[in-house]
Amino acid sequence: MVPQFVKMMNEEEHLKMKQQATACMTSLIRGLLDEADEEGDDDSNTKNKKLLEQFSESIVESISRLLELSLEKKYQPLQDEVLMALSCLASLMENKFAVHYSRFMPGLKKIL
Amino acid sequence: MRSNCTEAIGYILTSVKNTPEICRQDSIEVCQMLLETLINGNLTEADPQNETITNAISQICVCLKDDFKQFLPLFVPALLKDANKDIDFKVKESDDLDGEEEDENGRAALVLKIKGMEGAKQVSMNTNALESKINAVTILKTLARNLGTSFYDWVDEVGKTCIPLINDQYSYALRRQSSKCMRFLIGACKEQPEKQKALFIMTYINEMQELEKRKGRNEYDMMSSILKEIFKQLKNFYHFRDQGIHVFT
Repeated sequence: MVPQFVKMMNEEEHLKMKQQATACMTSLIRGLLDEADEEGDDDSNTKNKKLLEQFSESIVESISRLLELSLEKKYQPLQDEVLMALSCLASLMENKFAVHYSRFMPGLKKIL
Repeated sequence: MRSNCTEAIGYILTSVKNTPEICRQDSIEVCQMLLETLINGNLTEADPQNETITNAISQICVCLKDDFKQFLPLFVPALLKDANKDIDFKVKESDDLDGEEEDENGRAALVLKIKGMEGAKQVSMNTNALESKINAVTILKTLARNLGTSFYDWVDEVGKTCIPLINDQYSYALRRQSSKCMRFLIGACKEQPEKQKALFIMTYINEMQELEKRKGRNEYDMMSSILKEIFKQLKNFYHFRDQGIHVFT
């Protein structure tokens, strides 16, 4: 599912479809987060983190590209969705997300 | 969008909390911007930024640790203001309304019609204010936990707000978070044993009142939660044993 969502995020022609694909990705990551919360143990969290780790580079790449695109086109639904996906991914990946810090922080500060 | 952006920043900064040299400067800049919005941004009570900003600042606190102390005089009073909000719980006559409703100010109302009772009653409260209170106390708890003894200067003011909330009538979340916050405030007084003792005893009195109330209602889950919290608070006094001091004399 993840490669399919990433493909849609990258290749769909219409912004609305890109937004929907990003929303699916957000729901999937949030599901992994919620599962880890419900289980309440570090094992579930680590397991879910590992599960997504292999895809993290391509997801981050897509999110980064979509954030730029949404700002350029001034399309707020996509901006909101991309930021939510980013929050969920950073929350799940925790310290593993640190390598992507410099890619997003300057842009986010600018938005703020 | 600002709200989502703030949330994303909070999580991204958390990801680099163990490498402060990377995030220190950004954390300070972001914290200044967020506090400016929170204090001078004319945010309404229902604005989602209120919650995301306070959450993000508490995450920044983890990154900055002791360096976060400089922001406490700006941030803590804003949180205390939220924690002291009135939820405006009311019961009044209401013959012309029906069912449940919520207005744009976050005031939720429920109309009750009881067989045998003349006329209908409307029960209402400001749920936005209640959410703000719970969020503010949760953030104060996070600050106290993360800053430890560096939070000492704020113990009196925060304690004054949190101790009465241990017996809050309307919200279990508020009672629970207040008790937890007191645990960390007691911990923040580690270097002042007498004050630590006094703070614990004031907290303990309210917790025992709450325990009695729950006992009368056979609410055993609540009783268990209160007793566990008292036990955790007492762990703050392990160092008393080495110094030959007692909590209760």
